Amino acid sequence: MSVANFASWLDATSVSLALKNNFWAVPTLQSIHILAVCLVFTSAVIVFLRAWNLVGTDWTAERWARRLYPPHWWALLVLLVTGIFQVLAEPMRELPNPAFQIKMVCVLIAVPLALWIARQFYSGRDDAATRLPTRSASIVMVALWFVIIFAGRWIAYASA
Amino acid sequence: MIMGWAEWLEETPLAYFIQGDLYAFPLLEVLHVVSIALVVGTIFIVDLRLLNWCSKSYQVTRLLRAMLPLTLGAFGFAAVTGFLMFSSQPTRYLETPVFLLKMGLLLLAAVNMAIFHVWTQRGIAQWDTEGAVPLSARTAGLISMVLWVAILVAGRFVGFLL
Repeated sequence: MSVANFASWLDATSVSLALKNNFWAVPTLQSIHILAVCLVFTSAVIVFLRAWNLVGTDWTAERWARRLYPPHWWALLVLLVTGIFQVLAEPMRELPNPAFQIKMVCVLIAVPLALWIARQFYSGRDDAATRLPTRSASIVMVALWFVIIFAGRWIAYASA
Repeated sequence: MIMGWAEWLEETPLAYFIQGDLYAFPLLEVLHVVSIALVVGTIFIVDLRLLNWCSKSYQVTRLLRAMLPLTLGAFGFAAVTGFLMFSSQPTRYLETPVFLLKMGLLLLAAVNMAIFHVWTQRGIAQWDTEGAVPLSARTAGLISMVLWVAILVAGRFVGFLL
């Protein structure tokens, strides 16, 4: 089954129709999605700044990990759930869309990378959080989230 | 008077460029979303501290010193990109109630922030070390979070109701 056929099948489901027929559904889902993005993106930026010792050096890296990562994982779950519902609401707009596909590839890279960075920060050793591999990974993390946000917004324009 | 200014702005070369160029508005919108994400995220980190829900061992003054430059820088960027987006269709934005609501909420958020920084923060040296965040600071934190969620939601709805 091709992506387009799968999208077409999803588009005809009762869930999809219900979401499409409710004017508030998509903007509400998008608003919750964006709020979760705020949390995840800000965490990525603070982790990057802390890895480079530019901000928050009052706390150890482990302390920052305990502060930032639990809500970060919950926010990723919210992004997954609201994302699935947004795809269900407009599968023809999302699934065959190159911007959506690029976004998903970036997310698939970003999540394991976040897990790896989190392990360095949770290690209890500040040198693990501030050594070059972690610092480099933190830059990639911020860049990935920038691309994810970019691609996410571009979905509307790529499908127009 | 504001409508007159908006009509003038709509006829400027800048407005025509943003309206007419295929990538200008989408790019501005993306940059606006990125900067708003950082504004709201950093504000929430401070607000949750003011509410004494998170980061309790991090002094408010030090957290503010860490987060405020990020918040202000990102807000500046959001303001510039927001204005440029607005300038593409100013009369239409001004005729959209949810856009006016967003601007009103931004004003309230600014007032709340000003009251905190000018008034509540005066005694911060005392309560920051004692651990008990005063009611005024907690109230400012809660109002800020509610307002910024509302601003973000209103901003999303502008795209649907413009």
